[in-house]
Amino acid sequence: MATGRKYYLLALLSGVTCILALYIHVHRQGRTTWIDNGIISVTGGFQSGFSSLGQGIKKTVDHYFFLVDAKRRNEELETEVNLLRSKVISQEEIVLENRRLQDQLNLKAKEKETFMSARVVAHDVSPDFLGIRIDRGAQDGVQMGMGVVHTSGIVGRVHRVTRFYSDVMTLIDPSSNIDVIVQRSRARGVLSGQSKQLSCKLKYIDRLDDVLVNDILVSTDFGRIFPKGMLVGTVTAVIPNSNGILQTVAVKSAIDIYRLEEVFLVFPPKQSEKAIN
Amino acid sequence: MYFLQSNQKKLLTNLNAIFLTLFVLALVLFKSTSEAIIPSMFSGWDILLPVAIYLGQRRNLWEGLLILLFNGHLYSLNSSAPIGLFVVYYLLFFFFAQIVAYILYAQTPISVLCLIFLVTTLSRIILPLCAQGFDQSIYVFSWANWSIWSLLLNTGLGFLIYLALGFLDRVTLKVPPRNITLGDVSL
Repeated sequence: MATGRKYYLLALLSGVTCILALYIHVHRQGRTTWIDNGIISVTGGFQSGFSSLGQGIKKTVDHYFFLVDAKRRNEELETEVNLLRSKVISQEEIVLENRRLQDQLNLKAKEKETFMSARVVAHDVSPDFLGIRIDRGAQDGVQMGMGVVHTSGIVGRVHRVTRFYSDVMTLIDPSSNIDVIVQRSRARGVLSGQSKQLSCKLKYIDRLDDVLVNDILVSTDFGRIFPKGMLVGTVTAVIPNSNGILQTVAVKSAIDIYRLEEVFLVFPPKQSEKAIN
Repeated sequence: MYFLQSNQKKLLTNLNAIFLTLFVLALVLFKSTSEAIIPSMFSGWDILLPVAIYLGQRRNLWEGLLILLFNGHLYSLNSSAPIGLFVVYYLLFFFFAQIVAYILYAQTPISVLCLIFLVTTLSRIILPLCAQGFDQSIYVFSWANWSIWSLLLNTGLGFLIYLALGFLDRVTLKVPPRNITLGDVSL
Protein backbone atom coordinates (compact mmCIF):
# COMPACT_ATOMS: atom_id res chain seq x y z
CA MET A 1 0.00 0.00 0.00
CA ALA A 2 1.34 3.43 -0.90
CA THR A 3 2.38 5.56 2.08
CA GLY A 4 0.07 8.44 1.15
CA ARG A 5 -2.96 6.17 0.94
CA LYS A 6 -2.04 4.61 4.28
CA TYR A 7 -2.06 8.03 5.98
CA TYR A 8 -5.55 8.72 4.63
CA LEU A 9 -6.71 5.29 5.79
CA LEU A 10 -5.26 5.87 9.27
CA ALA A 11 -6.94 9.28 9.54
CA LEU A 12 -10.25 7.80 8.37
CA LEU A 13 -10.00 4.88 10.83
CA SER A 14 -9.18 7.26 13.71
CA GLY A 15 -12.26 9.34 12.95
CA VAL A 16 -14.55 6.32 12.52
CA THR A 17 -13.29 4.72 15.76
CA CYS A 18 -13.84 7.91 17.77
CA ILE A 19 -17.36 8.40 16.43
CA LEU A 20 -18.23 4.71 16.96
CA ALA A 21 -16.91 4.70 20.54
CA LEU A 22 -18.83 7.88 21.40
CA TYR A 23 -22.00 6.45 19.82
CA ILE A 24 -21.65 3.26 21.91
CA HIS A 25 -20.96 5.33 25.05
CA VAL A 26 -24.05 7.49 24.57
CA HIS A 27 -26.40 4.61 23.75
CA ARG A 28 -25.25 2.06 26.31
CA GLN A 29 -25.46 4.41 29.32
CA GLY A 30 -23.08 2.23 31.35
CA ARG A 31 -24.94 -1.03 30.67
CA THR A 32 -22.90 -4.12 29.88
CA THR A 33 -23.45 -6.77 27.18
CA TRP A 34 -23.13 -10.54 27.58
CA ILE A 35 -19.56 -10.36 26.18
CA ASP A 36 -18.62 -7.76 28.82
CA ASN A 37 -20.27 -9.86 31.53
CA GLY A 38 -18.25 -12.89 30.41
CA ILE A 39 -14.97 -10.97 30.42
CA ILE A 40 -15.69 -9.41 33.83
CA SER A 41 -16.70 -12.79 35.31
CA VAL A 42 -13.43 -14.38 34.14
CA THR A 43 -11.16 -11.50 35.22
CA GLY A 44 -13.18 -11.05 38.44
CA GLY A 45 -12.67 -14.70 39.36
CA PHE A 46 -8.91 -14.41 38.94
CA GLN A 47 -8.84 -11.05 40.73
CA SER A 48 -10.76 -12.51 43.66
CA GLY A 49 -8.19 -15.29 44.05
CA PHE A 50 -5.15 -13.03 43.58
CA SER A 51 -6.44 -10.36 45.95
CA SER A 52 -7.07 -12.97 48.69
CA LEU A 53 -3.52 -14.21 48.20
CA GLY A 54 -2.10 -10.66 48.23
CA GLN A 55 -4.04 -9.65 51.33
CA GLY A 56 -2.92 -12.86 53.06
CA ILE A 57 0.72 -12.09 52.31
CA LYS A 58 0.29 -8.46 53.42
CA LYS A 59 -1.35 -9.49 56.70
CA THR A 60 1.38 -12.02 57.41
CA VAL A 61 4.10 -9.43 56.77
CA ASP A 62 2.28 -6.77 58.83
CA HIS A 63 1.57 -9.12 61.74
CA TYR A 64 4.91 -10.84 62.05
CA PHE A 65 7.52 -8.39 60.79
CA PHE A 66 6.28 -4.90 61.66
CA LEU A 67 5.60 -5.31 65.40
CA VAL A 68 8.20 -2.81 66.57
CA ASP A 69 5.71 -0.18 67.78
CA ALA A 70 2.92 -2.61 68.74
CA LYS A 71 3.16 -2.13 72.53
CA ARG A 72 3.22 1.68 72.41
CA ARG A 73 0.42 1.68 69.82
CA ASN A 74 -1.64 -0.68 72.01
CA GLU A 75 -1.38 1.69 74.96
CA GLU A 76 -2.41 4.65 72.78
CA LEU A 77 -5.41 2.74 71.47
CA GLU A 78 -6.49 1.68 74.97
CA THR A 79 -6.55 5.34 76.04
CA GLU A 80 -8.52 6.22 72.90
CA VAL A 81 -11.02 3.39 73.51
CA ASN A 82 -11.69 4.62 77.06
CA LEU A 83 -12.25 8.15 75.77
CA LEU A 84 -14.60 6.91 73.03
CA ARG A 85 -16.53 4.74 75.52
CA SER A 86 -17.38 7.77 77.62
CA LYS A 87 -18.38 9.65 74.44
CA VAL A 88 -20.67 6.79 73.32
CA ILE A 89 -22.47 6.80 76.66
CA SER A 90 -23.21 10.51 76.39
CA GLN A 91 -24.24 10.06 72.73
CA GLU A 92 -26.70 7.31 73.72
CA GLU A 93 -28.30 9.74 76.14
CA ILE A 94 -28.74 12.24 73.31
CA VAL A 95 -30.24 9.56 71.03
CA LEU A 96 -32.78 8.56 73.68
CA GLU A 97 -33.67 12.17 74.33
CA ASN A 98 -34.04 12.78 70.58
CA ARG A 99 -36.34 9.77 70.27
CA ARG A 100 -38.51 10.95 73.16
CA LEU A 101 -38.82 14.42 71.62
CA GLN A 102 -39.69 12.94 68.21
CA ASP A 103 -42.44 10.84 69.83
CA GLN A 104 -43.83 13.89 71.55
CA LEU A 105 -43.91 15.81 68.25
CA ASN A 106 -45.43 12.80 66.39
CA LEU A 107 -42.73 12.93 63.70
CA LYS A 108 -42.95 10.22 61.07
CA ALA A 109 -40.42 7.47 61.81
CA LYS A 110 -37.76 7.38 59.10
CA GLU A 111 -37.35 4.12 57.25
CA LYS A 112 -33.88 2.69 57.69
CA GLU A 113 -31.50 1.47 55.02
CA THR A 114 -30.05 -2.02 55.20
CA PHE A 115 -26.50 -3.03 54.44
CA MET A 116 -24.85 -5.96 52.73
CA SER A 117 -21.16 -6.70 53.14
CA ALA A 118 -18.94 -7.18 50.10
CA ARG A 119 -15.27 -7.92 49.61
CA VAL A 120 -13.02 -5.69 47.50
CA VAL A 121 -11.44 -7.94 44.86
CA ALA A 122 -9.64 -5.43 42.63
CA HIS A 123 -8.69 -1.81 42.11
CA ASP A 124 -8.85 0.26 38.95
CA VAL A 125 -6.34 -0.79 36.33
CA SER A 126 -5.92 2.77 35.04
CA PRO A 127 -3.83 5.26 37.05
CA ASP A 128 -6.21 8.08 36.06
CA PHE A 129 -9.40 6.59 37.48
CA LEU A 130 -9.99 5.32 41.01
CA GLY A 131 -12.62 2.59 41.07
CA ILE A 132 -12.87 -0.72 42.91
CA ARG A 133 -14.51 -4.06 42.10
CA ILE A 134 -16.58 -5.93 44.70
CA ASP A 135 -17.73 -9.55 44.81
CA ARG A 136 -21.47 -8.82 44.82
CA GLY A 137 -23.50 -8.61 41.64
CA ALA A 138 -26.99 -8.63 40.18
CA GLN A 139 -27.71 -12.04 41.73
CA ASP A 140 -27.35 -10.42 45.18
CA GLY A 141 -29.78 -7.65 44.26
CA VAL A 142 -27.15 -5.01 43.48
CA GLN A 143 -28.29 -2.23 41.16
CA MET A 144 -26.55 0.65 39.40
CA GLY A 145 -26.34 3.81 41.48
CA MET A 146 -26.42 2.12 44.88
CA GLY A 147 -24.29 3.63 47.63
CA VAL A 148 -21.23 1.86 49.05
CA VAL A 149 -19.91 2.69 52.53
CA HIS A 150 -17.24 1.58 54.98
CA THR A 151 -17.08 1.86 58.75
CA SER A 152 -14.72 4.82 58.31
CA GLY A 153 -16.92 6.71 55.81
CA ILE A 154 -18.52 6.94 52.38
CA VAL A 155 -16.80 4.90 49.64
CA GLY A 156 -18.75 5.66 46.45
CA ARG A 157 -21.51 4.42 44.15
CA VAL A 158 -22.03 1.31 42.04
CA HIS A 159 -21.64 2.24 38.37
CA ARG A 160 -21.46 -1.15 36.62
CA VAL A 161 -23.20 -4.38 37.58
CA THR A 162 -22.67 -7.88 36.23
CA ARG A 163 -24.07 -11.14 37.57
CA PHE A 164 -21.35 -11.85 40.14
CA TYR A 165 -19.35 -8.61 40.41
CA SER A 166 -19.99 -4.88 40.58
CA ASP A 167 -17.72 -1.93 39.88
CA VAL A 168 -17.77 0.98 42.30
CA MET A 169 -16.84 4.53 41.39
CA THR A 170 -15.16 5.83 44.54
CA LEU A 171 -15.74 9.38 45.76
CA ILE A 172 -12.16 10.31 44.81
CA ASP A 173 -12.66 9.24 41.17
CA PRO A 174 -12.67 12.23 38.76
CA SER A 175 -16.16 11.23 37.51
CA SER A 176 -17.70 11.11 40.99
CA ASN A 177 -20.03 13.82 42.35
CA ILE A 178 -21.59 13.44 45.81
CA ASP A 179 -23.91 15.81 47.65
CA VAL A 180 -22.44 16.75 51.06
CA ILE A 181 -22.87 19.28 53.85
CA VAL A 182 -20.40 20.86 56.25
CA GLN A 183 -21.35 19.43 59.66
CA ARG A 184 -20.66 22.63 61.63
CA SER A 185 -22.18 25.32 59.40
CA ARG A 186 -24.59 23.16 57.29
CA ALA A 187 -23.14 24.72 54.09
CA ARG A 188 -24.03 22.49 51.14
CA GLY A 189 -21.84 21.53 48.19
CA VAL A 190 -20.88 18.79 45.74
CA LEU A 191 -17.79 16.71 46.44
CA SER A 192 -15.87 15.76 43.33
CA GLY A 193 -12.78 13.61 42.85
CA GLN A 194 -9.62 14.56 40.98
CA SER A 195 -7.56 12.47 38.60
CA LYS A 196 -4.44 10.78 40.07
CA GLN A 197 -5.02 12.39 43.47
CA LEU A 198 -6.35 10.95 46.69
CA SER A 199 -7.89 14.30 47.66
CA CYS A 200 -11.22 15.75 46.54
CA LYS A 201 -12.63 19.16 45.73
CA LEU A 202 -15.78 20.68 47.19
CA LYS A 203 -17.66 22.45 44.41
CA TYR A 204 -20.36 25.14 44.34
CA ILE A 205 -19.48 26.57 47.75
CA ASP A 206 -20.46 30.21 47.89
CA ARG A 207 -17.75 32.70 48.85
CA LEU A 208 -19.87 33.76 51.82
CA ASP A 209 -20.45 30.20 53.07
CA ASP A 210 -18.81 29.40 56.39
CA VAL A 211 -16.16 26.73 55.72
CA LEU A 212 -12.96 26.38 57.75
CA VAL A 213 -9.95 24.06 57.67
CA ASN A 214 -10.59 20.84 59.68
CA ASP A 215 -14.37 21.14 59.20
CA ILE A 216 -16.02 17.73 58.83
CA LEU A 217 -18.12 16.90 55.77
CA VAL A 218 -21.04 14.48 56.12
CA SER A 219 -23.44 12.87 53.65
CA THR A 220 -26.97 14.08 53.02
CA ASP A 221 -30.02 11.87 52.37
CA PHE A 222 -30.48 13.46 48.92
CA GLY A 223 -31.60 10.66 46.58
CA ARG A 224 -31.58 8.17 49.48
CA ILE A 225 -28.24 6.80 48.31
CA PHE A 226 -26.22 7.12 51.52
CA PRO A 227 -27.27 7.15 55.16
CA LYS A 228 -27.59 10.75 56.35
CA GLY A 229 -24.77 12.16 58.47
CA MET A 230 -22.11 9.63 57.51
CA LEU A 231 -18.51 10.86 57.51
CA VAL A 232 -17.19 11.83 54.06
CA GLY A 233 -13.98 13.75 54.70
CA THR A 234 -12.20 16.69 56.32
CA VAL A 235 -11.49 20.11 54.85
CA THR A 236 -7.75 20.57 54.33
CA ALA A 237 -7.65 23.96 52.59
CA VAL A 238 -9.97 26.86 51.83
CA ILE A 239 -8.85 29.23 49.07
CA PRO A 240 -11.14 32.25 48.72
CA ASN A 241 -11.58 33.49 45.17
CA SER A 242 -11.46 37.28 45.20
CA ASN A 243 -12.96 37.63 41.71
CA GLY A 244 -15.64 34.93 41.57
CA ILE A 245 -18.66 34.07 43.68
CA LEU A 246 -17.38 30.61 44.67
CA GLN A 247 -14.47 29.48 46.83
CA THR A 248 -12.10 26.55 46.31
CA VAL A 249 -12.22 23.94 49.07
CA ALA A 250 -9.83 20.96 49.20
CA VAL A 251 -11.01 17.88 51.09
CA LYS A 252 -9.21 14.79 52.38
CA SER A 253 -11.38 11.71 52.02
CA ALA A 254 -12.15 9.70 55.17
CA ILE A 255 -11.33 6.44 53.40
CA ASP A 256 -8.10 5.14 51.92
CA ILE A 257 -9.21 3.10 48.92
CA TYR A 258 -5.98 1.12 48.85
CA ARG A 259 -6.58 -0.13 52.40
CA LEU A 260 -10.19 -1.20 51.83
CA GLU A 261 -10.81 -4.92 52.20
CA GLU A 262 -14.52 -5.03 53.00
CA VAL A 263 -17.27 -2.53 52.21
CA PHE A 264 -21.05 -2.36 52.69
CA LEU A 265 -23.66 -1.89 50.00
CA VAL A 266 -26.50 0.42 51.01
CA PHE A 267 -29.94 -0.88 50.10
CA PRO A 268 -32.50 1.93 50.10
CA PRO A 269 -35.59 1.33 52.33
CA LYS A 270 -37.79 0.01 49.47
CA GLN A 271 -35.25 -2.65 48.53
CA SER A 272 -34.34 -3.59 52.08
CA GLU A 273 -36.88 -6.42 52.35
CA LYS A 274 -35.71 -7.96 49.07
CA ALA A 275 -32.09 -7.89 50.21
CA ILE A 276 -32.94 -9.46 53.58
CA ASN A 277 -34.89 -12.23 51.86
CA MET B 1 12.18 -23.80 19.29
CA TYR B 2 14.40 -25.50 16.73
CA PHE B 3 13.04 -28.93 17.71
CA LEU B 4 9.53 -28.09 16.46
CA GLN B 5 8.14 -29.32 13.16
CA SER B 6 7.36 -26.67 10.53
CA ASN B 7 3.56 -27.03 10.99
CA GLN B 8 4.01 -26.72 14.79
CA LYS B 9 6.10 -23.60 14.26
CA LYS B 10 3.36 -22.16 12.08
CA LEU B 11 0.74 -22.93 14.74
CA LEU B 12 2.89 -21.27 17.40
CA THR B 13 3.22 -18.15 15.25
CA ASN B 14 -0.54 -18.08 14.62
CA LEU B 15 -1.19 -18.24 18.35
CA ASN B 16 0.96 -15.15 18.93
CA ALA B 17 -2.06 -12.81 19.22
CA ILE B 18 -3.57 -15.05 21.93
CA PHE B 19 -0.29 -15.17 23.87
CA LEU B 20 -0.05 -11.39 23.60
CA THR B 21 -3.61 -11.00 24.94
CA LEU B 22 -2.82 -13.40 27.79
CA PHE B 23 0.27 -11.34 28.59
CA VAL B 24 -1.86 -8.17 28.75
CA LEU B 25 -4.45 -10.01 30.87
CA ALA B 26 -1.71 -11.11 33.29
CA LEU B 27 -0.52 -7.49 33.59
CA VAL B 28 -4.12 -6.31 34.15
CA LEU B 29 -4.64 -8.90 36.89
CA PHE B 30 -1.31 -8.03 38.52
CA LYS B 31 -1.93 -4.28 38.41
CA SER B 32 -5.52 -4.48 39.70
CA THR B 33 -4.76 -6.82 42.61
CA SER B 34 -1.37 -5.53 43.72
CA GLU B 35 -2.37 -1.92 44.49
CA ALA B 36 -2.92 -2.73 48.17
CA ILE B 37 0.48 -4.42 48.52
CA ILE B 38 2.94 -2.30 46.59
CA PRO B 39 3.82 1.27 47.70
CA SER B 40 1.54 3.88 46.11
CA MET B 41 4.47 5.60 44.37
CA PHE B 42 4.83 2.55 42.11
CA SER B 43 1.14 2.27 41.28
CA GLY B 44 0.69 4.97 38.62
CA TRP B 45 1.88 3.08 35.54
CA ASP B 46 0.06 2.47 32.29
CA ILE B 47 -0.11 -1.07 30.90
CA LEU B 48 -1.40 -0.58 27.39
CA LEU B 49 0.58 2.46 26.22
CA PRO B 50 3.78 0.47 25.42
CA VAL B 51 1.60 -2.29 23.93
CA ALA B 52 -0.06 0.24 21.60
CA ILE B 53 3.36 1.57 20.54
CA TYR B 54 4.74 -1.93 20.00
CA LEU B 55 1.76 -3.03 17.93
CA GLY B 56 1.91 0.20 15.94
CA GLN B 57 5.54 -0.44 15.06
CA ARG B 58 5.66 -4.21 14.66
CA ARG B 59 2.26 -5.25 13.28
CA ASN B 60 0.40 -4.50 10.10
CA LEU B 61 -2.61 -2.19 10.35
CA TRP B 62 -5.41 -4.75 10.55
CA GLU B 63 -3.70 -7.27 12.83
CA GLY B 64 -2.61 -4.56 15.27
CA LEU B 65 -6.04 -2.93 15.16
CA LEU B 66 -7.83 -6.15 16.02
CA ILE B 67 -5.51 -7.04 18.93
CA LEU B 68 -5.62 -3.52 20.34
CA LEU B 69 -9.42 -3.26 20.04
CA PHE B 70 -9.88 -6.38 22.16
CA ASN B 71 -7.21 -5.46 24.69
CA GLY B 72 -8.46 -1.86 24.91
CA HIS B 73 -11.94 -3.16 25.68
CA LEU B 74 -10.55 -5.59 28.27
CA TYR B 75 -8.74 -2.65 29.88
CA SER B 76 -11.92 -0.52 29.85
CA LEU B 77 -13.88 -3.26 31.61
CA ASN B 78 -11.35 -3.24 34.44
CA SER B 79 -11.56 0.49 34.94
CA SER B 80 -14.23 2.87 36.19
CA ALA B 81 -13.77 4.94 33.02
CA PRO B 82 -16.64 4.87 30.50
CA ILE B 83 -16.50 1.95 28.08
CA GLY B 84 -14.94 3.13 24.84
CA LEU B 85 -12.70 5.84 26.31
CA PHE B 86 -9.59 3.69 26.44
CA VAL B 87 -10.30 2.10 23.07
CA VAL B 88 -10.23 5.55 21.44
CA TYR B 89 -7.24 6.70 23.53
CA TYR B 90 -5.01 3.70 22.76
CA LEU B 91 -6.02 3.49 19.11
CA LEU B 92 -4.89 7.09 18.62
CA PHE B 93 -1.44 6.10 19.93
CA PHE B 94 -1.46 2.97 17.81
CA PHE B 95 -2.06 5.10 14.69
CA PHE B 96 0.59 7.55 15.89
CA ALA B 97 3.10 4.69 16.23
CA GLN B 98 2.15 3.42 12.74
CA ILE B 99 2.98 6.84 11.30
CA VAL B 100 6.20 7.10 13.35
CA ALA B 101 7.26 3.70 12.01
CA TYR B 102 7.09 5.18 8.48
CA ILE B 103 8.86 8.42 9.25
CA LEU B 104 11.52 7.48 11.83
CA TYR B 105 13.74 4.52 12.44
CA ALA B 106 12.87 3.93 16.11
CA GLN B 107 14.12 0.38 16.64
CA THR B 108 17.25 0.87 18.73
CA PRO B 109 16.97 0.81 22.56
CA ILE B 110 17.62 4.56 22.92
CA SER B 111 15.19 5.58 20.19
CA VAL B 112 12.47 3.28 21.62
CA LEU B 113 13.04 4.76 25.08
CA CYS B 114 12.75 8.28 23.65
CA LEU B 115 9.60 7.30 21.75
CA ILE B 116 7.97 5.87 24.90
CA PHE B 117 8.87 9.03 26.84
CA LEU B 118 7.43 11.22 24.06
CA VAL B 119 4.21 9.18 23.93
CA THR B 120 3.89 9.17 27.74
CA THR B 121 4.22 12.97 27.76
CA LEU B 122 1.71 13.30 24.90
CA SER B 123 -0.70 10.99 26.73
CA ARG B 124 -0.97 13.57 29.55
CA ILE B 125 -2.66 15.89 27.03
CA ILE B 126 -4.51 13.35 24.88
CA LEU B 127 -6.28 11.49 27.72
CA PRO B 128 -7.93 14.61 29.20
CA LEU B 129 -9.02 15.62 25.68
CA CYS B 130 -10.49 12.15 24.97
CA ALA B 131 -12.09 12.16 28.43
CA GLN B 132 -13.88 15.44 27.63
CA GLY B 133 -15.70 13.64 24.80
CA PHE B 134 -16.97 11.09 27.30
CA ASP B 135 -18.16 13.72 29.84
CA GLN B 136 -15.20 13.09 32.15
CA SER B 137 -13.22 15.91 33.73
CA ILE B 138 -9.50 15.21 33.92
CA TYR B 139 -7.49 18.37 34.21
CA VAL B 140 -4.53 18.82 31.84
CA PHE B 141 -2.95 21.50 34.00
CA SER B 142 -2.70 19.84 37.38
CA TRP B 143 0.52 19.00 39.19
CA ALA B 144 -0.50 15.33 39.52
CA ASN B 145 -0.92 15.07 35.73
CA TRP B 146 2.61 16.33 35.10
CA SER B 147 4.48 14.54 37.88
CA ILE B 148 8.06 13.88 36.67
CA TRP B 149 8.15 10.67 38.70
CA SER B 150 5.03 9.38 36.94
CA LEU B 151 6.51 10.18 33.50
CA LEU B 152 9.80 8.44 34.33
CA LEU B 153 8.05 5.43 35.89
CA ASN B 154 5.83 5.01 32.83
CA THR B 155 8.83 5.34 30.50
CA GLY B 156 10.92 2.81 32.45
CA LEU B 157 8.19 0.22 32.92
CA GLY B 158 6.92 0.87 29.38
CA PHE B 159 10.36 0.02 28.04
CA LEU B 160 10.39 -3.23 30.05
CA ILE B 161 6.94 -4.17 28.69
CA TYR B 162 8.17 -3.33 25.19
CA LEU B 163 11.16 -5.66 25.68
CA ALA B 164 8.90 -8.40 27.05
CA LEU B 165 6.67 -8.14 23.96
CA GLY B 166 9.76 -8.44 21.75
CA PHE B 167 10.77 -11.55 23.70
CA LEU B 168 7.26 -12.98 23.28
CA ASP B 169 7.47 -12.42 19.52
CA ARG B 170 10.81 -14.24 19.35
CA VAL B 171 9.54 -17.17 21.47
CA THR B 172 6.46 -17.59 19.28
CA LEU B 173 8.63 -17.22 16.15
CA LYS B 174 6.68 -14.15 15.04
CA VAL B 175 10.02 -12.56 14.18
CA PRO B 176 13.11 -14.53 13.10
CA PRO B 177 15.78 -15.04 15.80
CA ARG B 178 18.55 -12.44 15.96
CA ASN B 179 21.52 -12.87 13.69
CA ILE B 180 24.30 -12.69 16.26
CA THR B 181 27.12 -12.81 13.72
CA LEU B 182 25.95 -9.59 12.09
CA GLY B 183 25.92 -7.82 15.46
CA ASP B 184 22.29 -6.70 15.15
CA VAL B 185 21.56 -4.09 17.83
CA SER B 186 17.86 -3.69 17.10
CA LEU B 187 15.30 -4.80 19.71
